[in-house]
Amino acid sequence: MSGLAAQLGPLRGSLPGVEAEIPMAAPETEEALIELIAEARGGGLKVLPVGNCSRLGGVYGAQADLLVSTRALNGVVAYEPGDGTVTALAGTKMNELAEAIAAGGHRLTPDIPRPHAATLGGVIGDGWSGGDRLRFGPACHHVLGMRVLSSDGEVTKTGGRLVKNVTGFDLHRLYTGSGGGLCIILEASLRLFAAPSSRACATYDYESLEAAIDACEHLALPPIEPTAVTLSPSNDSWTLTVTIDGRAERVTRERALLEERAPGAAWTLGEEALAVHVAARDSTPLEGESPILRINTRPTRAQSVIEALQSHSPKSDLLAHPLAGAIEARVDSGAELAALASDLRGLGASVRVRGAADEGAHPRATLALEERLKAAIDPHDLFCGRP
Amino acid sequence: MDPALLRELKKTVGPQGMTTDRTRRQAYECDGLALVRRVPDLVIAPLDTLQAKECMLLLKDAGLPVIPRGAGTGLAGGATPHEGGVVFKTSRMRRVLEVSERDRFARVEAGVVNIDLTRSCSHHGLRYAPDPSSQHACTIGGNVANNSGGPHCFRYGATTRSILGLTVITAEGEVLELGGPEQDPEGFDLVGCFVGSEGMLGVATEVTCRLIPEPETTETLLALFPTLDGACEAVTELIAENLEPSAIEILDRLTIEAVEASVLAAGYPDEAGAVLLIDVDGLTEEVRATVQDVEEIARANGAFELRTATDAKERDRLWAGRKGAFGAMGRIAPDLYVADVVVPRTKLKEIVLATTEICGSRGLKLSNVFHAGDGNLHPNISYDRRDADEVARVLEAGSEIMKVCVDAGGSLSGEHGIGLEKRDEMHRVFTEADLDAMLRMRAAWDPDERMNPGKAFPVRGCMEIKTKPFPKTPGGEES
Repeated sequence: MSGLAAQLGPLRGSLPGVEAEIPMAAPETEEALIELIAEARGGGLKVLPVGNCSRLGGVYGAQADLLVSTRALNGVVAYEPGDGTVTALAGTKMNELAEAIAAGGHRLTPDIPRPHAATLGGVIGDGWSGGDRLRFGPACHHVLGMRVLSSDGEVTKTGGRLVKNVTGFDLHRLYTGSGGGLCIILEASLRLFAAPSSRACATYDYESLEAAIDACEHLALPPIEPTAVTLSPSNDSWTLTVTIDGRAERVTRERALLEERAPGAAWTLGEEALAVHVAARDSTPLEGESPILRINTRPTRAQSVIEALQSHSPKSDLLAHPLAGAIEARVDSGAELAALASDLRGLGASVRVRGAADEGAHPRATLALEERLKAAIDPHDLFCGRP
Repeated sequence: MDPALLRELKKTVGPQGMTTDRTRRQAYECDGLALVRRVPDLVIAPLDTLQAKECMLLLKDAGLPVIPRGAGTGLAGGATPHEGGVVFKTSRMRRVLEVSERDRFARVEAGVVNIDLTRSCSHHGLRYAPDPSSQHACTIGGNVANNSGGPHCFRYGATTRSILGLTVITAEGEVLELGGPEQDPEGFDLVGCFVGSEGMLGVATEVTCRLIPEPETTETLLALFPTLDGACEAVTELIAENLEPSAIEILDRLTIEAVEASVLAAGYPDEAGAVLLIDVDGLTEEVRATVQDVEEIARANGAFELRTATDAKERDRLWAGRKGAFGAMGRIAPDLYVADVVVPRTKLKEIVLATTEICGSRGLKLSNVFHAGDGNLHPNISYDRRDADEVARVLEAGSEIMKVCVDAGGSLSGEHGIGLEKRDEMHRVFTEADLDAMLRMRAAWDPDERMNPGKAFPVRGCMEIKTKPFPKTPGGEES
């Protein structure tokens, strides 16, 4: 550890479920990172790759000896607006990346909550899709390629910087959402979409979850294609926020259709609509002391999943994207987490427990394959993250 | 082949599911890459997942290579038989198992033909987005293996963006349920990892596909340019302006002539040096505005005439001409080498020019029909495979085209895959370490490398001398 200690400096980090502080390194060059990983491998240490440590609930209790942050490896590597792609180093903050590409008339997807706190590498490693998955699909669909550092110290490439490319296996799909369990992401390329020239937000309040879900399905029927639909409880009601954006002609028409289908919305436009959208987006439960569940289900099961959630954990702080079947919820401290997760899985939902141990989870049918993949890609078992 | 194994396989799939007769086996000697042929020793065609699993276990015990095959429409030799191997055909598995209108997905067997999936859900106002040119023949399972594209990938993405779940049989005979109707299942993204793996990780027997609503309005435009350059420049500007049509295709003059002389005559004008075929879909008002912008850009780049399809019938005819273009090339020469490369969309014009020079300097007939919006070029070289010298020039040109594309920041394949055709070009894009990482991943699925061996990766240890993938004698067997 002495060689490492010289490189580490004063940085310390903490992991949920782990009492002791853990040394953290944030190398400023790839060479220093490679050297550090070689030292760690030689010393038999367990390494957890991290970004800005804004969402570490997924690696609760990880037995890491060392946190390796890529936050100091940041900056846009290539952005040619005419190609519609961007390549950036893993430590680039999501808000800075969004600003860089806005100059070329592009928007960044995934549109994640609190982008100023998250890095590109962290978001991709976490596999975090924003509410805009409803229109653009999950984050993994937009990762075109990566450069990564493996546990044996090799820097390898997968995919490329092209919007269409089937050359070689898509290892970047495996790395996306792998939670720092396979490699360290150094750089990633993303597909970009046109920035909207117009935006509107409609906000509705409903007395019951059932009414809100019914409305949700009805409102978003074709030809309307909202960018995001978010649902959250507030006091005794449910607030539904529908974000529509794109060309002015599209927004005008979709707004007219929404008004026809469900009169009485509180409308905001332009910058004001952006503020409402961001407020709804950022109301995602913060990771903290109570565990968080990240749930995916079919849209038609969203209501029963939320009901089950609330029966176990009546004060759940939750944000749902019901039409995308995605729900994030903070579980009440007194709730039986294992029973809740089991009930939700029984309803056909996939559940990721964050900020607590996932006790009682049945092994996935694909676990043997996943273990073989882990052993093949990280033969030194250096990285201790998990998907 | 071991008679006891044949008996067991026949017991599993029945006489209809097994092809042993040499004449009938000959139909499987190649896929769309006719340059490499090998008659397989055996072809089996299970009827469902259970039969597929039983067959795979028998083949595992026998230690035989397995070559998955859908409809055999692939163009890169991904389904070319392997010595001593068994072709594992999925085209008898063709049931649509479930269509969910409200959750917008369909679960189908792997042998369902691409166009039949959209037909099976169109009464719900839904469709399956990926639309390869061979969509009237190619199967969903084949599309999964190759991560196939098509014109409308420009907006809706290649196959991988439309696949939610898979039932996969590995070489070990394991049946794996990967993903499902929900996005983001727990664990690694095994679906994303499998799609595009060219049959080297396992055989998909069932596929859960994402469906999208039919658009309110679709407009199809034809922009006529005096030159191919003008059409390319217009596309580069459309992309730079962030316009979002659903498809942007270019056809050059030779392609137009071939299509118009065929049964698929679409009414393409013979006075144009190139045409841009563009679909814009969405809300009516949005479509109208986008069409106006597209027309302005086309005119600014030299389009001398703009036409809009007046009805669905005309639109279908225009697209049938485009999708049938490869077949129409048969009028130019008996054989067609369909290159498939990708370049950054800012470099369309220079690379199209380079391909013209590469083919021109070798006395080859080149035509272009391609997915311009994605930067996915298809330089098509018409040739006669009985002419050994011409075959050699075709292959040399193909390799040179790949080189200029990669040098320009592009890649070897946009939608056809690597297969046999391009495996020895992989070193142009990836280092040994990159390839090793991919092969390690493969070993986790198929430790004995029995699934589609010899495809997609260069023969290791021979990189320095760059092994030749194709036979010296036309129509001969793979060396």
